[in-house]
This record gives sequence, C-alpha cells and structure tokens, in this order.
Amino acid sequence: MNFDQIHVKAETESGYLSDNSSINVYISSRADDSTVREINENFQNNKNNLNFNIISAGSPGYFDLDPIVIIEKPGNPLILYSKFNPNKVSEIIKDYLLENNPRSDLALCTLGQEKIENIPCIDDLPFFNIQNRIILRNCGLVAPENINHYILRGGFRGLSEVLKTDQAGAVDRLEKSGLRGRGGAGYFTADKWKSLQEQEGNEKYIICNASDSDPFSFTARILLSGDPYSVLEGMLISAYSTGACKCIITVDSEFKPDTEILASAVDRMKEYGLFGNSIMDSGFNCEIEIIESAVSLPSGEETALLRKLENKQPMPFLRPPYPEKAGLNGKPVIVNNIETFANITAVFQFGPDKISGIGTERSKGTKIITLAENGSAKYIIEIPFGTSLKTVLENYKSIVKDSGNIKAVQFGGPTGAYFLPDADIAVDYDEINKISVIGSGTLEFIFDTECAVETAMNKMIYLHDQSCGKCVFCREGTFQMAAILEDIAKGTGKPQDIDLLKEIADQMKTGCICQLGRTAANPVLSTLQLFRNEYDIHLKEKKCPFNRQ
Amino acid sequence: MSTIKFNIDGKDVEVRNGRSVLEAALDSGIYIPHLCYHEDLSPIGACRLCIVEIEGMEGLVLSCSTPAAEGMVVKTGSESIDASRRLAMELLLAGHPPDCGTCVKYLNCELQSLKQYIIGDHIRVRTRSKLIPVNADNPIFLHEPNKCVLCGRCVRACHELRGVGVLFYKKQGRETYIGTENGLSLAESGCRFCGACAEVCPTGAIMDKEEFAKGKSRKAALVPCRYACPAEIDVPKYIRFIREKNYSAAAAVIREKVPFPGVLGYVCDHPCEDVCKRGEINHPISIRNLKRYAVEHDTEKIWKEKSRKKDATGRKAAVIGSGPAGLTAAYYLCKQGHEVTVFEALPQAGGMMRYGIPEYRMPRDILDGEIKIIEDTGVEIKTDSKVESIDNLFDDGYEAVLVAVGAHKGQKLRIPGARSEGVLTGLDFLRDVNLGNEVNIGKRVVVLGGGNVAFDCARVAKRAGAEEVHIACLECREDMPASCDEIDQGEQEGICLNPSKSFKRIINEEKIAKGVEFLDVESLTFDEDNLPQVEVVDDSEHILEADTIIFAIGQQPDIPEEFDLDKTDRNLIELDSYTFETSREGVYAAGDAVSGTASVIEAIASGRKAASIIDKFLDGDGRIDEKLAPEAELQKCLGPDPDFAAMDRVEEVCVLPEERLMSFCRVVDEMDEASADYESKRCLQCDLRLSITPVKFWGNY
Repeated sequence: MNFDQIHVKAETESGYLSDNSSINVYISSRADDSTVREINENFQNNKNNLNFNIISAGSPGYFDLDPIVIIEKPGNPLILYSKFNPNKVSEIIKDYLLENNPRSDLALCTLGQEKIENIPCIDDLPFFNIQNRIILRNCGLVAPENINHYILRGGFRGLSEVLKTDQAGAVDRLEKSGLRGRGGAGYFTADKWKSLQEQEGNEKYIICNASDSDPFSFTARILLSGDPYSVLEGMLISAYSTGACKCIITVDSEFKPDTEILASAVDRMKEYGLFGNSIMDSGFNCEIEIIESAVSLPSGEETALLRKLENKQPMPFLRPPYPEKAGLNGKPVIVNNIETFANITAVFQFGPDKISGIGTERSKGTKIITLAENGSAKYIIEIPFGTSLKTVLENYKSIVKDSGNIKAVQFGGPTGAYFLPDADIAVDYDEINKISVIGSGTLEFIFDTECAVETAMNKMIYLHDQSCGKCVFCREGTFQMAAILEDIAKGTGKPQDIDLLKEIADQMKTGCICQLGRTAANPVLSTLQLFRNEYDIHLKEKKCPFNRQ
Repeated sequence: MSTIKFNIDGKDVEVRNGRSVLEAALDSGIYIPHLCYHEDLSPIGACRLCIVEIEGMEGLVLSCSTPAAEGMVVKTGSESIDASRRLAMELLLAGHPPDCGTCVKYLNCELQSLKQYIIGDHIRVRTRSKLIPVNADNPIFLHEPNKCVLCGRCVRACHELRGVGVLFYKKQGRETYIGTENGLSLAESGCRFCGACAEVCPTGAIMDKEEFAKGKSRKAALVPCRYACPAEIDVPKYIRFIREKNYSAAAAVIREKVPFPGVLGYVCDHPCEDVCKRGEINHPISIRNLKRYAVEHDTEKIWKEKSRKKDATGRKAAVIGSGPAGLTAAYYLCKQGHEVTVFEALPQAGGMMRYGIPEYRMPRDILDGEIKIIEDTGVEIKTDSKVESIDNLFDDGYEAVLVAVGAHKGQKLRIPGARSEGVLTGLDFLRDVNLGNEVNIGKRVVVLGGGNVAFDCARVAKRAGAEEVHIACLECREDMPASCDEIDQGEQEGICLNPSKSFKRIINEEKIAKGVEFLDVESLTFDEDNLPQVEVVDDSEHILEADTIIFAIGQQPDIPEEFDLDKTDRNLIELDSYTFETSREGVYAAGDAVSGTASVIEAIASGRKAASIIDKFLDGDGRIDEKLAPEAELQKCLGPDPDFAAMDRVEEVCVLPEERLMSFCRVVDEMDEASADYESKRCLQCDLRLSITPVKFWGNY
C-alpha cells in the first residue's frame, strides 16, 4: 500500500474524524478507573437516537483535571470538560449534543482559536497557555491504538515524504530542525544519524528507550498510551535515513497496558504495510520489535540499556566504543529517547521549521515537563525551550491554589539541582547543563516546611539505592554523602563534613562512568548553595531547625 | 609489529601499538596504580586509580581505557591526580575490613599494596563493616563479600574470559556485592569451577579454601592432579585431548613422562585422583581409566614421531633389576645415547609388574608390549642373570650402575607358629603363581594384612582353587590401606574381611598350620615414629581355622652383601636423596629398593630421576624430558552448564565375579567412548587458571 491507499483505507474505516458533520466525544483519564468506565457507559446508554462517536483517548497529561471529556461538535471549537462527573453525562448530551448549550459551567476551556461565550480559550488560560503542544498534539484526541485516527490526524505523511528522498536529504532536513536528543544529554540527533549512516552494511538498529527510568517522569507513558504511532513513525524515519534494518522499542515490563497498546499498534501497522518488507511500496524493509524489561534509574543510560538488550546486567560501560559504531552485540545502533522519536516525526510531518522556529539559539523545539508534588505527577505539559522555570512555577501556582509555599524545585529528575521558585533560568540545554541536567524534565517541589538537609539526604539514599554499584565514585560516593547528610541531619555532623561533601561531589562529576553518577551530587551541591544556613544550623545547634529528626 | 613513541613522566618510551596508556606504561616499567584493570579483561574504569593527565586532553583521564598514541605526553602524578586517586582509594576502603594483619591474603593482597602506595592509614570518609556473611557453602571457593571492593574483575573473568556468566553485581540492603542470581549455589547456577574468579580477585574476597593452598606451591595448589603425580604427567592436558577425541595426542602427553602408560592405565594407584578438585563437587575424575582409554585407543602412535634417541656416546651403564624403576631408567639412559644393559634374576623382565601384580589386574600383553618398546629402543635385557657383584660390572666396562632390585623379600610376623608348614609370604606365593609354578594351597586360606598385596594374594588364592578365603588385618574396615576398588572387587569375589584383628599366633598341629588365633583390636594408633600402637579387647581370643596362611604385611629389598652398599635400618639402600648416589661412586639406586614398597608410578618417577642423574654422570645434559604431544589449544571460553556440577563419575565396569573367578582374565571391562567423553567433560580444567596473566605489584616496578 502506498500512502494514498493507506489514507483511503483510514478514511473508509474512521471517516468520522474528518467528517465535518459528525460529533466526537473523547474520554480520557490517566487511570483506567471505574469513573471513566461509568462516563463511557453513560454516553453509550444515553445515546437515544443521537449519532455520535465515543472515543477512548489517551490522557492529555492533565492528571489533576481527570477525568477529561473533550467534545468535538460541528460548527464549534473543541471543548474540554475537566473533572467530569458521570452524572452529568445525560445533561451534556441533552444540553450540548442535542441542543446547543455548551454548559460553560462544566467546561474548562476550548481548544483551538475559536471562542465560545463564557468559555475561555486554552490559549488564554494561565499555565496551559505557556505550552506549545507539538509532540503531545494528539494526546487526548485519538484512540491510541487506532491507526486510522493517527493517519487522519496527519500520521505517516512524514514517513511517506522521507521515503521519496535520499538519506542525505533526510539528514539535512533533520539537521535544519536543530533537534537535540531528549534523553538528557542533548546530543544533536542529526550527528548520531550521520555516524550511523557511515557504518557499512545494513545490520544496524534503531533503538527507542520508551520507559521512564525516573519514576516521577511520565513522558514515555503519556506518549505510549496517548500517541504510540508518532513514536513508531519516528523510528521508521530514523531507520530509513540511516540505513538500519530494524527498530527495537524497549518498554517497562511493569506497565502492561501501555505495552499492550504498543503491541496492537505494531500489529495494525503490519496490516497497513507499515513495517516489514517494502514499506509503503518503497522498497524499504524494516522490522519492529518490542522488548519488555525491568527499569531502574541507571538502566536508562544508553550503554546500560544496550547491555540489557544483550541479556546482560544493565550496567553502564565506558565509551568508546560509541553505540553508533558498536552498540548491540557489536552492531552499530542509535539509541534515542521516546520523546526524540516523536520529535523526528514532527520534523518530517510539519517541516524542520516547526521545530527550529521555537526555542532558543541552540535548544530548538519543545520539552515535555512533568510537574510532581509529594511524589505524584500532576501535569505533563509541553513548553518551548527558553521558557524560564520561574514562568512555569508562577503559572502553576496561579492554578494550583491549595499547594503550600514552594521552597525550592528540583528540575531534571532525581539527579537534578534544586532551584529557588523564582529562579530566572531558562529551560535550555546549554544553560542548564552548566549547573545541572535537563534529564527527564521533571519538576518536583519541596515546600517551606521541609528541611533542605533531609531532602538532600533522602535523594542520596535513593540515588545510592539506584546506583548500579559498578564504579567506586557513584557507589561509595552516594553512600558517603547519604551517611554524612544523615549525621548532619540528626545533629552529629562535624564542621569539616561540608568540605568532605564538596570534595566527594566534585570528584563524582568527572569520576563516574555514567551520567547518573556524574550528576548525582547535584541535589547536595544545590541545596548547599541555596540553603547553606540550614546546614550550618544543623552543625552548630546539633539539631534540625525543622525538628524533623 | 608497529610501535609508537610517547612521553610519560618526562621519559620517552616506545611500546607496541594498540596498548592503552596504562598498559604502555606498565610495559615500560612505569607503575600507574590500578585495581579494576587486569591484562586479560576489558577495562571498565570503575576504580579510578589509574587516572593520569595527558596534554591536550581535558581533566583526569583513565589510562586503562585511553589508547596510547604517538607523541602523547602523559603525567602519572600531580596534585589533582593525587587528590582524586586518594579519595577513590579512601572510598574503596570505606567498607573494607581495616585489619590486614589477620587476613590470609596479608602481604599478597593488591588492595593492601595500593593502600600503602596511595594513602597509608589515614581515612577521612565514614568507614563501615558491610556485615554480609561469609559464604563457605560452595566447594573449593570461599567467598568473603566484606573484603570485596567491587572491582568487578571476577564478574568479567566469569563472563568475558570463560563465557560462564554466573557472577553478577547484586544488592543486599545498602550494599553491593558479587553473587549468583537468586543466591543460588555455584553448582546450581551453572558454574564450571574454573577458578578464574579467584585467580583475578585482588583481595581475599574470592579465594581457594585454605586446605587447597596451604603449604603447597602455587602450581601444586592450582593443578593438584599433575603435581601429585610423582612423574608430573600433565593430566589436564591429556584429558583435554581425550575430550577432543584425539587419543594419540593424549597418549603422547602421558608418554612424555612414562614408558609404561598402558600398565599405569591398569594399576596406577592414582594419587592424582585423591587430590582432584572435582572430588570436592562430587567425585574425582576417573583419571586412571581415562589414561587407559587414551593409551588403548592410540592408533596413530604420534608420540613415536617426535621420540628421539641421541647419538651413541659409547658409555655403558648397567641396571640391576627390570622392574618399573630399572626399565624406566634404562629406557631414558638408552635414549640419551648410552649403551644400557639390564640384568634380571628372574626368567622374564617386568619385576613386580610381572611377579607381584596378578594378571587379572593387568593383562600381560600390555606389559610385554611396553617392555618390547624399551628393548626396541636399544636396551639389552639379560634375564635369568642375577648380579652377584657390582665390582664385576665395573670390570666389564660399565661406568655407572643403577640398583633397582625392588623389594621382593616377603616378611612374616614373629609370632608363635609363623614357621609352620602352610605359612607363606605373599610375595613368594604371588611369584610362584606368576612363574607358573605349582602352588599348594589348602581349601581355607587366611591372608594376614590389609593392603593391596593382601588382596592380590586373597584373590589369586581364590582363583587358584581355595574355597574359603579370609583377609584379616589390624585396621578397621574404613582404614584398610588397600584401594577401594580392590576391597570392593575382593568382596564381590567372596573374600571374607576380618578387620580389626590382632594376630596372636598360628595354631599348628605337628608343625602343620591349622589356623590363626586373633584378638579383637580396640584401637589402633601410630606413634611419632609411625609405629602401630595396638590396644586389644581383653579375652577376645578366637581362632579362624585355615590350611594356608599368607603373610602380606610388607616386604623388603634383598640387597646382597656383595654389593657392598650402605643400608638403612629398614634394610633399604642408603641414598643421597638429592644426588641419588649410594655409598659407592658410580652406583645409584632407585625404586622400592630405596623407598620401600611404593607404587609403579613412584618407581617410574624414581627411575626417571636416576636416569637424569646418571646421564649427567656420563657427561650428558641430564635432560630426559621429551616434547611428544602437540600443543593443546586451550578452549578458554567454557560457557555455562547448569548440569555440570551434577555430572557423576563413570565408575569402572567389572566382569561379573562368577565369570572372572574362572580364570586370570582381566577384571575391568573396557570403557566405551561415550563414557570416556563424558568423564573427560567432568574435568574442571584447573590448569586454565595458569594461563591468566599474573598481576605485578608496585614493588615489582
């Protein structure tokens, strides 16, 4: 099947998405809980003679607003109803679907440019309007496993385009976008493509790390359960552009439902001739394999991930050799994060300018950020690079009124540095890498009732626990820092401990094998910098000023 | 081989290309501290001790994983290197026990040496005890995780070097340790017990259990079978060839050390099997049977191709006695180019191999064949030629004489009735049978003694027509000195065992033996002179009736006074154990005549040593070692095998007792190829460990 035939097939099967006269109801929630099922059933059972489509969509990432119902009605913009009550289903059917009262009392906002009286447009809503949803564009608006939905929302056009060009052209296109890998380190993706392209033969692999090794981050889960085809398409584009013969996508074995969605997505692609032999009749052959495995913090590191795929212990290894030369069982590979592949799809679907037109000088496009409070994710948003942490936090505070006073925020996952809430620092690879990491892009708050020393200590205990144990500075460095912080926290620290902490932290930055160890001291160094007085009080007064210990 | 030049600490050095900076430095005799690096393993950069500064490179660089390049300028020490290295060392030691003095690895520990080199005693970081229990449950190896500093060498050795892959980094509470998956025993996890892990361990975390190493040389500790063999036959090497079904090569390995491989395949008392480490897992490798299999399937005889005889020297040597010691010495002396004559008092050559060991234990065609090879080499054997005087030999132009007359004089206990008619010594009895002389034994035979000779006598007696045969000995059943095979086979043949008996007297009537009076032994111990101390049960006298009583309680050499040689108080030839010289110049001795009753393999080993020394006396170089076998290609990658530990020893198969008692036919059945293959695969290949590159400490640079 070529792209036109594919499109016709999608149109035939799910034409309602492009039919201007059909009503579509998108229901989503992070959890597949009883409330969502009830909403779903209530819509089914109260259809009467009205014709509308009910679509179980992936989450748009606003967990705090779940369950979410988005209604698409001809003539009106999409309306997003948040924290939807199952009891209101019959009302909304009667009032909005049957009549034309959009029930502004239940609605949060409209999506898109058009406005409806009494319902604000999402672009006017604080917090939500700092976003630019390119990568998450389909999340909440397609049934994740439904390939027709994806195709009718523009999917696989990028792939069909790239199959008409040569590899060099594809690399040029990616290079123009300025895309950097979203895994944390921020390598220019086009450079990896070039390295892989240079390797001889076609036994090369494209590997997608589609698991959130930072447990607070939701990037992988939101994409897998919301728009899996955008990831798979990006992998196929990468494979074609680098001459690879196979795509391997690794998922967390703990999240079965996401894996099931992914597996059925891959099955559907087979039906449409979108993997295997001669994809889209182009002569390009590529296989897709899903591999489930247990996930830990270091297992997200690319060399560790590769060892895991070789059925070895997932431990980071020294580079060189670089994976682009000898990665998996000695074969060249590219390992990219799931978000990177979704970006690649966007580059080829919308053109490189769509990405390069956003962001900063050297960090182009958008970044998916997870906001977490008290250990649980609240919002997954997509912001342009260059947005400052201060902007994100001010906006967040303006909509989440019941939070306490934010004392500091840790950005970048468990090894990220802490920042004060008014830190005017831009989300930008080069800016952040000077002091910390962008990592998983998670923002986690601590409140003014929490002790900085204890916070740092807990992070170190966690990081020591996660350390694979292979290299001395990570294994013993995190242990020592945790032990010293424990002493300080309970009032038995010694004045020279601060210097020892700094010395260990300093050596870890260059002395560890992988990025986890190299960045593991960030929480300590940053709290020392921001809250040195708290450390000093612990040391002088031999007790915790927050009376925590 | 291309080389590169670079500068390290101001010194220009030239090294072969393809080495890391660390390797290049070490090759050039410049020490850079290192711990996780090992010559045979891939670098992982975990310990951070080998950091250096390299001009043009940022920061501190791992020398283990940075290739040395032309023109590089390397510094191995600086303030920042020292600071970083110091902290790394402190962190490595933070969880390591501080008391080196009490550790068995003391002064032989890489970590201890590094500690002295880098920091001395002062540690600023928090120290702790890891409190992970010692694991002594596995055979051979002792695992003390508290001593482990997680250098990961064992893991790499297990995975990369051996392909076995049963060791992993594991976590327990807050500590990382090295262990197997799910805490399985090594056996369950598929370990091949090659010992690579223990070999590369820089601390005492994985070690051979003390009993395998204590008081032994490194080689003897690591490859015990080979070094327990008096002739040092390279056992692992020939087992390796058997595994490859290259039996000729296997036989050639054995031939490198002994001229009686076939005989040994039947009768060797295999001290190798007693020390075989496989025995710790279940049962030792059946080394003797594998040897027999290899020798009997040596169709190509490749050993002959490389076997050399030196040009004639025109020197003459005489050997008195054609047992294993004498013939071995004669064979090697002949190959060194000397003219050798062997004098044998009895009608045929072979000594104890022919006149002591019964035919059912060792078929005579095997012996004849191997003696023939010796004769074909050029050794002249004069049988029925008892040497009366060594002087005569010298007069006849022999420049050196080897006395290898064995120990053929049987002994009797001096108890009442020992001179009665019907009381024999074992050796006389066996010699008569083997000579084909008629032997008069009664229907009831009692053999006194618990060793192999006693069993030989008993089993021969059974074959010679005795209806009821008893063995009685001082030792209890478990401590009987005879080999297990002998005891088992003897019992199968209906020999009655009477252990723990003290012999009080021989009962006789008109000087004709009628039985033995025993006392039950309460306890048997040996004093410091190794003399037995027997305590008997009071009033436990009882009589076992018999027509024939055979003493098999040891034998002595019968050295004619005319030889004019000094003797020990045990009637053995007095010998300088280093020069093998007797009290007379040019006269040497070997075998049982020197050691007292020993084994064929010991006699052969003794003959080899004598040959080497006599060759030197005759102005040769004394080098009798031969290279007959091809090099064995070591398959260093073993792969995992979950069933390996459970593979059980292939036991010898015997002809049915009722069948074998009908004649002197051989008792053991042939081993089939599948069994030989299986048995050879059980070998732990302990010698693989010797191919691991040894580590040099900083003191050696």
